[in-house]
Amino acid sequence: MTQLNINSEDLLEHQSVPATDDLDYTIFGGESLDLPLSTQREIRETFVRSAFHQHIRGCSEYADFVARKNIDTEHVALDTIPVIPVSAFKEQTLTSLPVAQIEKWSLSSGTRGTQSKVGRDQKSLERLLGSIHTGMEMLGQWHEDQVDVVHLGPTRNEAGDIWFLYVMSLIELIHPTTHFVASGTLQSRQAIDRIIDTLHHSDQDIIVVGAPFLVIELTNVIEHRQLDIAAQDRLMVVTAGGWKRHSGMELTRAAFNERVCRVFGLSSDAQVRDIFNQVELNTAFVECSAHRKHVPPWVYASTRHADDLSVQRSGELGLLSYLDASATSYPAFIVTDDVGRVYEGTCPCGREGVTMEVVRRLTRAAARGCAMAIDRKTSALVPTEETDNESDDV
Amino acid sequence: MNQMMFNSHETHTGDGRRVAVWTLSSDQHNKHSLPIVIGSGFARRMHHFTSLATYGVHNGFFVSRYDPVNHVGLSDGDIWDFTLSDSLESLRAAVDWTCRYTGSDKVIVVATSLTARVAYELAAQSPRIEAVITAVGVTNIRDTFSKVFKEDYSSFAELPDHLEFEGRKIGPGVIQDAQEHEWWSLERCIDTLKQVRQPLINFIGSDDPWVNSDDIHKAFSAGDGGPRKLLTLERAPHDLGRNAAVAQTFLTYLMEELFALNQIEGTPSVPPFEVITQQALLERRIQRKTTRETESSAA
Ligand SMILES: [Zn+2]
Repeated sequence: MTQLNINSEDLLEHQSVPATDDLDYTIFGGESLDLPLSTQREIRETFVRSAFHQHIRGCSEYADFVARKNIDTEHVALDTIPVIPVSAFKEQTLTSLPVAQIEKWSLSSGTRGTQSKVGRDQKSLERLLGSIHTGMEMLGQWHEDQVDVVHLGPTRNEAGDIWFLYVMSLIELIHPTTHFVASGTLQSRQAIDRIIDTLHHSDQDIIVVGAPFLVIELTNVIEHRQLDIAAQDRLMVVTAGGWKRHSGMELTRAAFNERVCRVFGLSSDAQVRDIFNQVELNTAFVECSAHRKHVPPWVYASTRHADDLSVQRSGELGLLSYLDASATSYPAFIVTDDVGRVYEGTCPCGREGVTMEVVRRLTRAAARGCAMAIDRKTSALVPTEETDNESDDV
Repeated sequence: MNQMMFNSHETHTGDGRRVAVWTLSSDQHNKHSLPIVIGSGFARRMHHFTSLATYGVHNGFFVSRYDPVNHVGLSDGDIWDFTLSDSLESLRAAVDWTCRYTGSDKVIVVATSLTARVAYELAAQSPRIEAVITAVGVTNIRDTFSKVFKEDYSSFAELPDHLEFEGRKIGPGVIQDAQEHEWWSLERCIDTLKQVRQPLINFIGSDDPWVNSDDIHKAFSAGDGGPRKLLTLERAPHDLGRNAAVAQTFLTYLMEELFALNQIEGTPSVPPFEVITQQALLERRIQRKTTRETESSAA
């Protein structure tokens, strides 16, 4: 007879063990977007400040950067926590943990050599997936097999290290998924056949996931084939990535929604949603039915003045910036090249909290100018060469 | 870690129904450790236990999983006809097959939720079970069913048309079987546990809305046929996989218990994220391809 791992002589031993830290409890609890605003603020204060201290201890480059700011790190206000221009991730690797703990290095899209490179440990990766899981629940309440995902992207293997493609491919962990990009080519006919087959021969709902330009490509083929999809309330289109990049299409978001609804025969434009993430950010922001992207409370999102990076008021147009407490392997305290707005209050969907929108991307020269303005002494964190790639996005 | 080896097999229940079995192992397999048989929870399938299987293999164990008959998954039958008695026969088939396949006299069963109750029953009957480790194990089926289905069917004179769980319909046979074979009560579970001489370990989720932890304490205290151990995972829900941090804590402690049961020295290690992810994707594709094909041929 084998022995139990028991110390006492009693036949029954009972032991209690802490199973989760507070932040994981919040991220995976699935209710963070439904909490009252005051609670969300408290969560944000606690976790962002705690992450700040962790990154000062773990990332010497960030600690040097902070040291030059002469701030009281113990009692710092979130608005004064120094933020890193995302361009810095193109120049160097910033890690807050020993490199041996990094499980995945991810690259932004764009051309090699001018890509951001971000390393994540297991905890950061799990938390990113947790934020997607919570976000998916805002799209609808489906059990695993109640949805068939038509993914306009490659498999996880073909996605390689490109963050946007990698993250999208992992939807396969949640729902049955077929990938319809192979060797960089969209297999539109097969994707459409899959949609029609599921609509007619299954009681599953369908989620079409892909970059906006691929969704447009799919609608073009559907129109060309004069197909009447008439999916009504059984299909949802979820976009991620590249509204500007491949947008030769010159389509506003409203026009995009209208086109997608018409071609797929959807009941409501609440069935067209967008998800925001970028390689330097460790949390996905998912749109609610009112088309606002909700920012979970472990991320402090703000906009900043381009000249001095000071934090702006709610709703003011400025550079989007995030302090994301969920990343443990690198300081996800960033200011981006995106111009947008951040709102705090009650969303038309009824939830209290923070929402954000991207309005446009800063031009390359302006972005560089802005980065240089942050602090001339922090050149280590700022690219000195003009680069010709667009900033990257998910 | 060296390459993991994944294989699909099948065996049969005593009355000839096909049971699908997956094995996961590696060439670093510790030949002195007992094989592990994983019994998934109700409405869960083999691919939902990729992490547990991968942790096991990463720490030197040979791991079998199976889908029960009359359940979701790759085995014969449909969940409409699910019964706890069939679930018991499926676990028995998987345990017997694993012993035959590996040449081991005994296995350790790791069972979750409702399947825990079935594993306790088999442990009382089968000399092939060396120990049982359960997670969010159910000892009082009547109470858990009442919490999940919002009705106490044990007292119904007439059977309901069907039950519904996560969008799936389950026929009234499950109730009838529970009544006929006395699966319902905590007292009956305690009687069983008194006959179980083997070590039993159960992980409790302190935030589990479906399992009353007082019942577990009572069952493990009174059902003292052998060594018993309870571990409470603080702030853990019924679905231990929902919170990745909870999952990692559970799996690490589980490996420690498996090491102790096998008298293995050392500290368990955590498999890389990418290894688990790749295995999870592979298993989902196999499970889903088969499911879709079955549905198409049925349609
Ligand atoms: Zn909203």
